[in-house]
Amino acid sequence: MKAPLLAVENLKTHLFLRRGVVKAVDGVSFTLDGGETLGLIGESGSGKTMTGLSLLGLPPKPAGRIVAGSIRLDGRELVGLDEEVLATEVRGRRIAMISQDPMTSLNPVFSVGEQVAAPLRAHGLARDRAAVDLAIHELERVRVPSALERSRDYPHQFSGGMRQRVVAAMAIACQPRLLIADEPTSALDVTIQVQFMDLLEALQEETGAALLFITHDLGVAASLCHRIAVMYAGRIVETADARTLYSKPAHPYTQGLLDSLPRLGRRRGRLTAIGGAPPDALQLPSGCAFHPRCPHATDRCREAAPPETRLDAGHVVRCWLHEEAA
Amino acid sequence: MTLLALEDVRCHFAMGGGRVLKAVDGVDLTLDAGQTYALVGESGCGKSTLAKLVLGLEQLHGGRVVFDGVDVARLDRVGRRRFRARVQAVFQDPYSSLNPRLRVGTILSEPLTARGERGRAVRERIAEVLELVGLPDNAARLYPHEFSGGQRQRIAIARALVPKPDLIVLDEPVSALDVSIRAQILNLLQDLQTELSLAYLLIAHDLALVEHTSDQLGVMYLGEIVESGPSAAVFAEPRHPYTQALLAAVPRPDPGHPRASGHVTGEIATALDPPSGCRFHPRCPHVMEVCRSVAPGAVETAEATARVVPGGGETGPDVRLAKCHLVDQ
Repeated sequence: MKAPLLAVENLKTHLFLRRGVVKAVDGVSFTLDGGETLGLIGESGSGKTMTGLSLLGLPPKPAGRIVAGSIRLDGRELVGLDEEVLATEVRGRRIAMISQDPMTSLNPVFSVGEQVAAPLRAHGLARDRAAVDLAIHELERVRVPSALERSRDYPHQFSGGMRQRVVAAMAIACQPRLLIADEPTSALDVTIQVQFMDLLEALQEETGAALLFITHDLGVAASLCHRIAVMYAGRIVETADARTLYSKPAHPYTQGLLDSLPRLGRRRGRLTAIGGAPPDALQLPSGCAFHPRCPHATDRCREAAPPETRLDAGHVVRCWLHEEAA
Repeated sequence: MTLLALEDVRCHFAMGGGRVLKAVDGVDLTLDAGQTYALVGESGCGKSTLAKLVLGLEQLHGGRVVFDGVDVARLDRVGRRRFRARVQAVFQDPYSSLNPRLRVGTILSEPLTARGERGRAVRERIAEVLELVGLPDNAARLYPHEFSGGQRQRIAIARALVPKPDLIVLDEPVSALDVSIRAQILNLLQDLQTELSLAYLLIAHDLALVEHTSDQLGVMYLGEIVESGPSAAVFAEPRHPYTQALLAAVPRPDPGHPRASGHVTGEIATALDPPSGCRFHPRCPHVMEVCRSVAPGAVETAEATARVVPGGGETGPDVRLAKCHLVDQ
């Protein structure tokens, strides 16, 4: 079997705060092939963004540190690489990121053409005017209308949707193998959201890059992702192909999330709510972190964290219910 | 019984250089007691400005806000004070809408102490509302930061309940909350509505949530309501191309559901320089020549009695209206 483009194994990124240690990412494993989209779903504090930042070698300074695990991209181990090597050979070159708010990821005082050219120059792929010419080409690839004229404009002259396209152009400029998109559509209106998802899909087809799509929105994830990994309290609790995850969710948390959503075409009635609240990261519950909110919790769930159980090809869940049935 | 009626309401902002942003540009709506009217639309459509007009937080530049049969602009001091108690609000972000330096008990007592109530009556009311929103008694002694996001939103709801309102304006009440918490708060709002006969004016962008919670619906685009009517009817059969586009664009939690690619193209225009004719025409898949030059009026779209409603003044709760030349044929 061919090795995957990205293989993350038992990744642990912890934040060492004065008040204690936050195990933001606590033993996360997944793989991702070229051309594939993996959705990383979770609520705030579940560790999804921290996982993305860890891949870039950017856990928040000074508190954050990758304490264990491995990240292999095209067979190359990234954990433990020198900052210098990460900056010149990996970040922005092999792995690029599209973040949620295009207004803060763009610099207000440079024209967008200059900004898209910046990664090309930084990674030595083009110089001077040639870099700007390439940047205009990248703006065309992300379907910014009149790219040549607009490359001279500044971020504030663009709409939210167009700004996010500019960020995407920066991200793809150096032909990365892995794109990380962290809630890239959350700040956009729904009609613009659809257009941006179309673009991401088209770019992926053109470039063959892998896409790690981080979101809290189960609707957006369903519309774009081939596979989904659900995170809770720093761990992936369930992974499956998208169809399976939405039709046969196995983890009580995934089931609860899907049940709690209001859906078009179903009016009124009460929603099935998940009880309780997401846990305090400094005081995670013992055993399975979801147990205080889980309708099926037993003593076993309080005592020990469940291992991974393989239900079907590609469908993996961390839950004692399934471990005991297996 | 009509509790709130907006009649040709307008709110314009002077933007400098003689330019005027017509944030709300001639809106009519009626909300019955105990019912939910949802306003939906994308950013910049004017839905939040409209909510502020109802709350009296933004100045009216035309039209009337009629509450319980009385024009709010004509209320005397006592009437205005009474109005401010009867109309409350819950905002999106429970982190910024609660004063971090006040105990929850103080936050909840303010609406009462402001009108001179003291002592036991205040304490009793606080205990009552805490129970209504499902928080423990001792919550009154704690500060907002000691609560989770969902609990803070419960505190914000409790504060709105304190003066026994008839209407609560809910401006994106769950969109800042974690997905797993949203259903709890939506259920709570629904229970409170039934128990206390509250009317809600709900501002939201999540259409699935709106379908779930609303009786009446108004779809806004660039300062106007382009379609309105009973939610069930509008969701079952949207008439305005913009409503159709919005509904199609909702990402469904179902990987088998195709994405509505290419349904609407282009970007949301700005209310500072709205397109001529129908404001939606540059993005409309059904655009006709007339749409580019003539603004469509509000047309009643109930099949049997299609007729133009002059000024939209007769908008009873069961009337469906759409501002579209296609519907006007």
